[in-house]
Amino acid sequence: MSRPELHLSSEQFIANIEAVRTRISPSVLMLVMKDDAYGHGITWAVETAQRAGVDWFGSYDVAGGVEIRRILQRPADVFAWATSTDSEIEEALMQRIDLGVGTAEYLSRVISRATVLGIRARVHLKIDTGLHRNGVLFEDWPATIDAVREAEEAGALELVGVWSHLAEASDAEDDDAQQVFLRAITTAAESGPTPQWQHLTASAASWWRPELRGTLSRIGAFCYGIRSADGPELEGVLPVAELTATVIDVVDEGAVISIGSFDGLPSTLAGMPVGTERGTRIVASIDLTTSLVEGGGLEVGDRVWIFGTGAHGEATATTLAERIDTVGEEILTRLTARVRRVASD
Amino acid sequence: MLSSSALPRAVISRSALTASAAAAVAAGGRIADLRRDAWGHGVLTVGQAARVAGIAHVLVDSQSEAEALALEGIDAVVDEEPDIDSTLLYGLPDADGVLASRPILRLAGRVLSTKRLKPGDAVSYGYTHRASEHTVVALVTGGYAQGIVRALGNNAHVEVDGVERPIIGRVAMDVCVVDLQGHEAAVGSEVTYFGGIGPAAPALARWSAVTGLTVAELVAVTGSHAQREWEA
Repeated sequence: MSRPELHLSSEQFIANIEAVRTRISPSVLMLVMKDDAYGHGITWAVETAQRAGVDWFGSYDVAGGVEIRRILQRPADVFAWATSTDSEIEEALMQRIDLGVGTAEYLSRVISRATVLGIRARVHLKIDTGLHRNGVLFEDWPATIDAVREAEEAGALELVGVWSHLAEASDAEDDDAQQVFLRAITTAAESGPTPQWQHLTASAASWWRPELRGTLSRIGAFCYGIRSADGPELEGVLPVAELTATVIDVVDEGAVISIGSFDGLPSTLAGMPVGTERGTRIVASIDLTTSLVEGGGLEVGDRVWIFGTGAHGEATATTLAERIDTVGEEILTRLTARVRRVASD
Repeated sequence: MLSSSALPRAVISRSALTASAAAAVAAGGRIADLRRDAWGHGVLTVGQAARVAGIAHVLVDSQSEAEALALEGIDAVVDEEPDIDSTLLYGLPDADGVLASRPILRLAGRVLSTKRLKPGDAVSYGYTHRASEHTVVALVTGGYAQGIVRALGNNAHVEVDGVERPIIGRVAMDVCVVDLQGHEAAVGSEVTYFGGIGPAAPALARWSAVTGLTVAELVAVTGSHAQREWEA
């Protein structure tokens, strides 16, 4: 039985990375690789990004950071920001992975493991600028900076960055968040060196709000060519991945294709367009392991494009996402491992 | 790849599997649907339980998979119609949240950190939730990249220490925020999204009602993205 395939354009990925870097310069790109490089496959993504000259990589968890380190052919900075276990902290320290730290509890464990191993931890301290997820509240920030400086003196730590996430609820609220972010940096600079890497913005704000950019920009989605839901197209940026399935049977109602909801294609997308060599068709239903494409003219073995750049009449992942009120990232990352990742150029 | 404490865990209960396989056999049928790695539960474990329970055949995705299972004494087929009730076999809820057998798979996250909120404090992207009173919230592993559907934010509960607590704000790619409603939880505490024997056991019915997705795809996709473990 033929498996669905996610075809990856290395050329487009490199072009997107270059478009993003040009747009955000002089801010430096940190390419975010969380969740298997947004479902694209981390090995291919790291190898290709390295060809494009990327030298900052962001992983959500330590395991992903270690994987990036393993794939990298030359030195680069790797950042992992999930609050992690003690054994993961030790792994990160030994692999020279920068740690994102957003609570006093995690900070104390990082200091403790660094002291035991005798390795100076490279820490990016997170200020909570409004999301109330990970991140030190501003009222606790001065005391946390004191703890950081003390650990620096003891040789356990180096504060290399300050960072946060924006809510993107409104420009005004993001402006307020930036004020908190800048005050946090000022506070840190009063007791020691100004942290070199300041990163507040991800894809959308890095692209559209230059005044919010720090010295570093954490970008995943736009490099993979995933535009924001309900957001405009991006100049010089196109989807890197196209998802295809194969016609495995022809019945009275249409063509049966080899992808279903169990492969991560939401069944609520029934009614969506797909691309074929003969133009756009409509998916009548999405069953567990197969889907039905309406109309005649398709033959067993024909390829159907579920999403992509639109070259065969298919929609982009973000356009599909908008049909069910979500984001393109969910369409990509929901795909299961059964979808074969294939690098095409 | 290393295991990661940042990923949700799919905990497979062997005792629940034994009981549900027996219940499924008793209800009739000869062929169980084990496609897509037994709906995200693990084809070998479910296949062995099916064999022990006396299920004649299991349906899998490919001939090579069937051949591998044959070495385990499991009779797998690739192009027949399954006729055993999958809802019974996997312990899945119906639309009303009724479970005819115990769930085999429990999806678990863990508390990464907790934080005090004041009235008016917003939570997560888009600030879709604001605290109405002083409370404590937990940042919990699990997001839409692991199949915890983004639409569940502000619309579903998780189980913490045996009590249901709401997911507040947007579900992010890898995390979500849970309102502990004045209670505390230690870093590392376990959170149950669905399954198990507590109030979250039938939660997939709620997930299905909120998202419009089927219970079958919800469990198969989360099961395939999670780190799998087994318990007695």
